[in-house]
Amino acid sequence: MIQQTFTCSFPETLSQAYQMRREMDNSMYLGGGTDLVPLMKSGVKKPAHLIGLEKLSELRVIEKRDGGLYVGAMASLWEILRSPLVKDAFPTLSQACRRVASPQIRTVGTLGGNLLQDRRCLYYNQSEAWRSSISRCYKTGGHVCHQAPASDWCRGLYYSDTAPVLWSLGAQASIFEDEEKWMPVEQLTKEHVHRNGGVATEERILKGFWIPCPPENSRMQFEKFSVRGSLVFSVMNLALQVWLVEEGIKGRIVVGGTSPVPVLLEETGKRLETSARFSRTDWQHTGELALKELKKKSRFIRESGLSLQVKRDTLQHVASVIEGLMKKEA
Amino acid sequence: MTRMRELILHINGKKYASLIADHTTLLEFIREEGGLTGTKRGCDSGHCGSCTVLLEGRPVYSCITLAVQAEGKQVTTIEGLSGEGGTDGLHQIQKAFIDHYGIQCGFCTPGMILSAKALLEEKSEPTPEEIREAISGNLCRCTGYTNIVRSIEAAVKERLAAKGGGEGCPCKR
Amino acid sequence: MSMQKVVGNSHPGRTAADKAKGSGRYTDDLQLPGMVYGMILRSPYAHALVKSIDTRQAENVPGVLKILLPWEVPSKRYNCSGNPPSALLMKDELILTDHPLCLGDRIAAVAATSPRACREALQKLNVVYEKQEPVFDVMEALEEEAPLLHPEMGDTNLVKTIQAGEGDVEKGFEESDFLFEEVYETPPIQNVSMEPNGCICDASVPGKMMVISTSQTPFQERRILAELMDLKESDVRVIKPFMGGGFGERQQLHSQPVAALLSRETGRPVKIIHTREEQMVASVVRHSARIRMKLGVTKDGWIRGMKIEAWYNTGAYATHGPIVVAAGSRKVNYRIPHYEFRGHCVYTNGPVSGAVRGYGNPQLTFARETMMDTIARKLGMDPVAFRMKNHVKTGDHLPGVPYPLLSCAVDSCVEKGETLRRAIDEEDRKNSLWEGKSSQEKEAWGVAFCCHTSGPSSREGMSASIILINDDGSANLLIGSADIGQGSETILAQMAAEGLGIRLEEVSVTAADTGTTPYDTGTFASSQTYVSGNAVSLAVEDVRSKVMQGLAENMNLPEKAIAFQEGYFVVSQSGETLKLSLKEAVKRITFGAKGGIITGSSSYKAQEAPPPFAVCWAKVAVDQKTSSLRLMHIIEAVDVGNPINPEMVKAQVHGGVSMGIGYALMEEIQVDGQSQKVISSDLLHYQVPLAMDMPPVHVCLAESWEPSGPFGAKSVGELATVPVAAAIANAVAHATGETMVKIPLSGRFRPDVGLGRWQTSGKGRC
Repeated sequence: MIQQTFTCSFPETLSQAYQMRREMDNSMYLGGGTDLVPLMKSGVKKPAHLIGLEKLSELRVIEKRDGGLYVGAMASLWEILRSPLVKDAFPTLSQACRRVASPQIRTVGTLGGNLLQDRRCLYYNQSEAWRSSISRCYKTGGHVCHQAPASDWCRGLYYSDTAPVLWSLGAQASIFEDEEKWMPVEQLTKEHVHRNGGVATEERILKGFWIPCPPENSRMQFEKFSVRGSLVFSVMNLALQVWLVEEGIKGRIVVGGTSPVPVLLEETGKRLETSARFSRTDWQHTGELALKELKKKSRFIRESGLSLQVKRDTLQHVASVIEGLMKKEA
Repeated sequence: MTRMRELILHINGKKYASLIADHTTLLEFIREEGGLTGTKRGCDSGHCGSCTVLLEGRPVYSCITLAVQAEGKQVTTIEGLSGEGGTDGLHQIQKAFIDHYGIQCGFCTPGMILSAKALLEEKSEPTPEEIREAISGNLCRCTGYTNIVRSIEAAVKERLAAKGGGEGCPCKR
Repeated sequence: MSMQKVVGNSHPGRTAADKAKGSGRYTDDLQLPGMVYGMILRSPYAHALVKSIDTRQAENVPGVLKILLPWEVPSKRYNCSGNPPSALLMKDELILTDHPLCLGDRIAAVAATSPRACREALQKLNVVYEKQEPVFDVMEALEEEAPLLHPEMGDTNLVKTIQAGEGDVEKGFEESDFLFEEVYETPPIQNVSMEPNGCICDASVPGKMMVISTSQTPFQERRILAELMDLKESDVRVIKPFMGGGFGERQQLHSQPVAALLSRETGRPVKIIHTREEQMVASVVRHSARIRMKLGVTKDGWIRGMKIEAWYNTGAYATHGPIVVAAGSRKVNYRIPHYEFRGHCVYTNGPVSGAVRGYGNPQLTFARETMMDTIARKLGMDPVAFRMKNHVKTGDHLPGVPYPLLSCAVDSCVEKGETLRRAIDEEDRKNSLWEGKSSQEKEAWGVAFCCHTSGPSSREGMSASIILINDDGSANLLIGSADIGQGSETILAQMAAEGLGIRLEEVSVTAADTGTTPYDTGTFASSQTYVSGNAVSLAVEDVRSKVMQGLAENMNLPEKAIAFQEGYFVVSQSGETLKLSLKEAVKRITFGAKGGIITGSSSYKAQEAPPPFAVCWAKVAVDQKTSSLRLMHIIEAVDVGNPINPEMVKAQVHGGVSMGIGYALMEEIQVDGQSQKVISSDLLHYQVPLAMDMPPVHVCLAESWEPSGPFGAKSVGELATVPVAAAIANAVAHATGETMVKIPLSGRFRPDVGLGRWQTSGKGRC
């Protein structure tokens, strides 16, 4: 039961949708709804108007475009994971979509929605009645983070499985704001995560993603480590795209689920660029470096289920992935 | 006052019209407006799969789908499956769940069967891993899933046999 | 018993088709004319005082019919447990309270014409709380300065200490060469029945009450409600419709008393269905336990003494607490001459604990079987051999239980399970040679043994049955026991059919309706096959003797000329024999010159509670570097006597194993220290195994026969869950060399499903 009453419209053009969002107070966009509807049920989101985007067919396109692949933000995870275009060009994207939640969620959940999903926290993802005995946090209109009372920002975790993949692939996002604008997915994610630490909602419409064709000889990898095999958020996910250059390996390694924003392993990436001459010991050291970098950049919080120690130990996987990478390329 | 609208949904090939508010979920529409109680409310937040129905042939959690999102699409509930392609008014998958002890308390069963149906429409010969994946959004506390997977495997065999008999061997007709 | 036709053969269940078609009607699927809805305002604090409730705004919500406040309900306290009356069932609970003692405690309630109006009214009730200091830890709750939860019960949070045992444990330790001592901890877990608790109470006819509810114990529910509402039991009718699981959860009343009051106040039937959040935070959990165990053994591996002191967290109310503690103490499956058990049931402001599949046994079995492994390692003995050396056998008694065992087929369990285990290892070896393996993972097996019970181990189980024989020779079986999804109606119908020589399809069952079926203690303690089964067998005998009597009268023969053999009434008459089926016999009797209607009835009180036995093996792969733990196989071999419906028995074991896996690996109702609240409020914060999380599960049924059981049967329901956690913990200990003393193991390892092999890295082609 959704206690909040609201109206729901399904505009047929982008500008109509954008206009509605601008004109109607307390309105929100509705993608697949698999993230938003449960949040409305628990009363943390109370929009008065929902603007459904599913009739905007240009947002559902999956096609080759300009030396890359274009995937509409409203394409469902199911459509993407079984699209031969995606599978061939970007197996990691296909794989990441397959590991999101469950078949039911993937039927209606969209790529745009997965990227723009709400951050989670055990004090936030609770019913209105449950939350009535604790003060409001940053995400519910208050001025505290229950995870870290001294923190001046929300420490809730961002679990998107597809964001690290899109980062690793160097994808660009197309944004509609009266006109079309492009920005790196990295930037979009950071903006989203920042806004999502409070009560503000997005006005712009995420249209889709353009992913450049991978360089010659590139290698991609996606891993998700979680408590269950399905219907579960990552303890840690990892996406990478690398390719061989003369001196070593070039590319991006991105880790999600361990902090409010995905972690780009920059230092590790730099080290890999000179890995051609590395010995076995160097491989090991590079793995350790990756772990060190990830630990430094991770911001775990209290969650139900796994202990903090086990979550920290899970980070160890990054070392084996990086070592394995150099072994394979050697 | 809450704004109401007349919504017509196609459920199991029939039209259901109701005056509803936009906050009505598909599950509420099916159970309360449609009177089809085979679709169960287990958690009401998309975590258990008891409310699984098919939307255009694909499984969804009806409890976190708005009824208005289903407008113009084909909805299939467990009641729409009975009699389809099987015997005794039962679908092959339903029959297999009965014969292979895939049912205990029965509360997850409708959702489980619909998830299985979506899989079988997609793949005629799924592997055991694909079967597990297809029902990985459906929680069952009674069976430990073993007999459910077995039931789906049996339904697959049954369908293949039926197909083979129909096409290849006139003696089986 | 090759002559059996129905018993011993599997049948998928009488109601399976209804469930497959979605036409089975569960509580929330039912509507009564004029029915309205109820909802309960629950405390957001673990401990508080309600200073005031302002209802003005809530009353103005359209559709609101009644708002019920804590000071408007009867002041008598009750115990929600669906156990037969006992001095151990403390009456410490109020229908609504202004002194909430746990998160989710019932404060107020509303009846309205729609669930939405109910919710809105609850949101508009302005309640002023004064927060009180809560206590969650059992040891802290026993300290003098701890907040006292129930001053009306006494001056301590100790509900009761249960003592059991035999011999002189100190003497046993003196006779031992080695002493082992350890403290173990087990978590509170939720039953997670798929169907949330619900009820419809109809008190619209003054002086009467009709209740449709998710109930495992309709007759106890009737007694408690009659008492609370000042009604005669004959005026209260409790009906259990289709039910989506139970696992002990519905052995407590949940919202029935509130719905009953609301119905009485409004004169309308009132339906209350729990939300999943109410299920998670406001319905009973398994008692968490802290167990100090000490075992003494001789150097050649004989156990001489066992001493247990355990603290059980019963939460804010006692419910079954002391009985759970006592029941656990009676399930030690080894010959131990000197045994001492002291179990303390303690109040805290944690979640209310009650009946959960296993009822006090999984906690102690985890501790005992983990320790048994530690000892076997120390003695250099094989873990199975060490256990078998000490295991009880037919004719022995369980420590602290003075009744000889009439059956124990643990050797058959071990033989079948070990054979299977070797085959699995062989197969795994082949596959690993084929695939190649990550070198970081270490594989190992672990084993655990246990026993449970068939009917309450206190031997309180009672049931009755009536069989109406129709004039076409078919039978209507009336039985009070509740089928909660496990298939007991089918099992009991099989027994009736077998006993009457008719087909299963010729038996219809009416069950768990206090208006039309005879008393049954209820569906708990794995009672149905054994206790209710014995009641059915007795009613069958009654039918047969009445048929024989009727035939004798009809045919002018002495009664001894008629016998029942292999499903037929055999009449011996002047050297000739005549074989009559039930149908033929009834035709002669009912429509004969004299006429007569055949009904059989019975009353059964358990004299025994024979333990079924189980042995569980778990194979795991552990990666200590990344703290990940992968389940590879579970084998469980069970001695359930002669299985009435072998496939259903196996299905029970499969389900029990999955619950045991959740208990071992990931399930725990957690209280957050900072907010002092239960955070495991939904099925994402609290995760239970899904299909991809299950390893291959292999089930073996031992060759066994229980002389006191119907058709040689014992029970299975709870048994299968009990040994799983210890088997997994022992496997992990073998793989890591480190003993696991605490579950769930998610405190130490991340359960890994082994999806790694899916994640082949790829090269993109664009």
